[in-house]
Amino acid sequence: MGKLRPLLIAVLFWGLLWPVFPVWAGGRLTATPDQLRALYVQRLVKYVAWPDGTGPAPGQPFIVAATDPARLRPYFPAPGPGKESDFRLVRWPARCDLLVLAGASRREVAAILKRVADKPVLTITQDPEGPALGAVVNFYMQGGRLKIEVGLGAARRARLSISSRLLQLVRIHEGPDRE
Amino acid sequence: MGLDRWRTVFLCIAFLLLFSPVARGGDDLSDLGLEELMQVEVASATRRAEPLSRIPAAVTVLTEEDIFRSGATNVPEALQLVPGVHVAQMNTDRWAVGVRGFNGLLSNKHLVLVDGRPVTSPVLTGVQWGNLVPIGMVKRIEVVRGTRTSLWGAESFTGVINIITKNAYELQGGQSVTTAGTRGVSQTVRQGWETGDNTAVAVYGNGEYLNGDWLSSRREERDGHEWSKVQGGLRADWENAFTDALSVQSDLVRSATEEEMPGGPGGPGGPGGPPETMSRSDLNGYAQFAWDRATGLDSNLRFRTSYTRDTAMLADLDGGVNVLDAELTSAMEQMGRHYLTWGLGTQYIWDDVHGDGLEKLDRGHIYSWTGSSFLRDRITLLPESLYFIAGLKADVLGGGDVELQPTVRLLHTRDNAEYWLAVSRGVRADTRYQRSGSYRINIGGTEYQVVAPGNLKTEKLISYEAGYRQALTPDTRFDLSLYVNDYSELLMLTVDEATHTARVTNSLKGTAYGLEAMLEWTVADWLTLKPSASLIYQNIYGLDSSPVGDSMPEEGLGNEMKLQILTKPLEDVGLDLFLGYLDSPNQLHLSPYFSVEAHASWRASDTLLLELIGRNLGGSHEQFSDLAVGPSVDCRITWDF
Repeated sequence: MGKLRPLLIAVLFWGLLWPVFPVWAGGRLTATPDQLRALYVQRLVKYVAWPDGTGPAPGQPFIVAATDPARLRPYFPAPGPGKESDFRLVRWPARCDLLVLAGASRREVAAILKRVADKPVLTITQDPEGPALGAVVNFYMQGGRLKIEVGLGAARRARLSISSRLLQLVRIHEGPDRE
Repeated sequence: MGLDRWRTVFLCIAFLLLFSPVARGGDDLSDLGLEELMQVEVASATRRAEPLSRIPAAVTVLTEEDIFRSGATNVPEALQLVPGVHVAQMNTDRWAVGVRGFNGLLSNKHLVLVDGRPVTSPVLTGVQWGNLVPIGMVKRIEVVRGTRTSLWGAESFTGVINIITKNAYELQGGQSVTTAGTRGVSQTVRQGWETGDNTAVAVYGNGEYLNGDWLSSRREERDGHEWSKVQGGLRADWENAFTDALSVQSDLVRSATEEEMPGGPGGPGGPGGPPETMSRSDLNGYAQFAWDRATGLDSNLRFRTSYTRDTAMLADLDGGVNVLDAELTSAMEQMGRHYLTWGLGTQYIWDDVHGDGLEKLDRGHIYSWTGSSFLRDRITLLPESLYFIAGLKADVLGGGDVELQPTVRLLHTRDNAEYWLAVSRGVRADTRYQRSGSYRINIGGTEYQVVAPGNLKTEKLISYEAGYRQALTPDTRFDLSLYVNDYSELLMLTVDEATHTARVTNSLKGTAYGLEAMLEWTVADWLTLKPSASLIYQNIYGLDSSPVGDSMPEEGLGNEMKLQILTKPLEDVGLDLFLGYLDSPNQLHLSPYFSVEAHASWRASDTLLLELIGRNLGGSHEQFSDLAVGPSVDCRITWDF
């Protein structure tokens, strides 16, 4: 029993460390909702084109405004010494290229979307009513996974071009917006 | 364990980590593309306490779960969980609830709101706690201790108790709550419907009878009075799913009792007047309309108006008070460093309170109008770290006098900790009852004739506060508040031994030093501990004996220690215990006592909940009046249909 004690203590420590990290559990990759939202935001910019004269200037980072940036910040790369990150995360309200409206109430989301409706901002919500309220991108849960829905009408109003590749991967919302 | 064995442990850990996901790929998700992210499963959030709202004040929020686990059958029973809030039962439906050193039946130093509507009587300054909404309708209770006059009315001298009820969407379906036990019986039924895509309506009814048998005087010459009520209410909510929300609420309650009431403003348990037996049948009610428009993140424009009819009965006074109020408030979206909040409000009050002789009450102020406005700015000095808050409230009081109540606050947030400092000035206006004279009171066995005072000034308070909150671990939260309250020109009764007369004067001056600390520790999934302590030392200047009047501070130390033990031995079973050592801050002639309360719950099915509630199991104690509060046991059955 004495020889087994170090192994038991080691297993105990390992067990404590295990839940801290995203894991391949039985071959399945898992992540927290905030982590997934942050990673999606960083990937989505490759599939969206901003109108001329808008969006980040060459060499400049995308400005991502969020209603609760503290939840997303751990999953955005921090700028290194002498090197700026591709994204700058700020708290809404602020001038921005992307706007993440997660965690705000539906009526707050509606009020904010109304204000930026005609501006070239990639708005992102996670609300079944998000596309109808005017969000360009909306997250929804399906089979325990976070999926994407794109509002084409909202994208047109924001003068954003969505790549056909992205449109193949996501659900399209073409319904009327609520006013 | 020797060094060699530790080495073995480290080697084992290193070996296990080699096969752990951390060692395998570092942050595996960072390299995934959009399509791969779509295959990632969402992990459920880890158990982690929500951070407290970043408010630079001593704030406690009682959630629906807190209220349920306390076994509270009314709002005052739930409030006794909050450190710094003094709760004592004075009769079957009468409670003394005070904040930071002031307590009495007519606790006039703090404000009580239900969904933003003031329920503190503007004439007598007490609250008819028994007539508030059934406890099952309450969603949460926010208790702000300390001067918050920059946001609310001139009544919020030592704090604000804001009771938030459930909206019609949260009251969908039917529910029956039956309570029966040694105290009496109660039945509440509610039903809610969605009446459209964006509208919901809920109605409720409540009948209650309490026998008062668990209350008795030391000499057992009398018990608590019998009390009964019938109540009905309605709430309708409409959200247009864009930015607006409208709500309509109304409630009507008839209560009946036969009780012994003290005479004069001395109040029960203190040097008040001789008791009088009176029958009472009250009809109270209110109607409220609110419109709320979201204008952005944490910003809105809100209009609220209400009419309240409240019976105002004390001693031989009878009648009712009518309050018509309206307010417009707005939290503006952050503009650079500034986050502005402003509001305008007005109240029109008229009453028909009368006594045996009409000359007893100040007839000149049956009608009164007050107006108020406030402006507050939260200035970000360092983003996400340091904030300066400045606020100013201007009250136009009944006589046309204007009172300014400024506050300045500093808030520093760091990781999971918040530190705050505040200096505030508050005022408290006198009431029509305090302006009245020509009644007799009994002080220490001697009868005094109370004569009408001259011009009374407002009571004044300068408050210095500091606080610290921190999530020490994901499972442990700590909250500490310190305060020094400097009072001046408080109202009290000044007696003239020669002429046997008494008069209300602005002659009380004092300082209170206090501390409130609370820890919430989730020891395990099945066990949570919530110990708290509040200490207060009050120094009264220039008086040889305790001041006379209701809700008067007393010189000396008062302290309250509370411990909540919440357990869930099985998934559907809860066993909760509340232990308290309570020493009243302003009834020092009463002995401190131990309070033991127990709550057991069993969710027998998705629709059936059974509870057993034991109160004052530690024995019979005089809490605030000469009526001692004894043990009681109730059974509560909640059925969702």
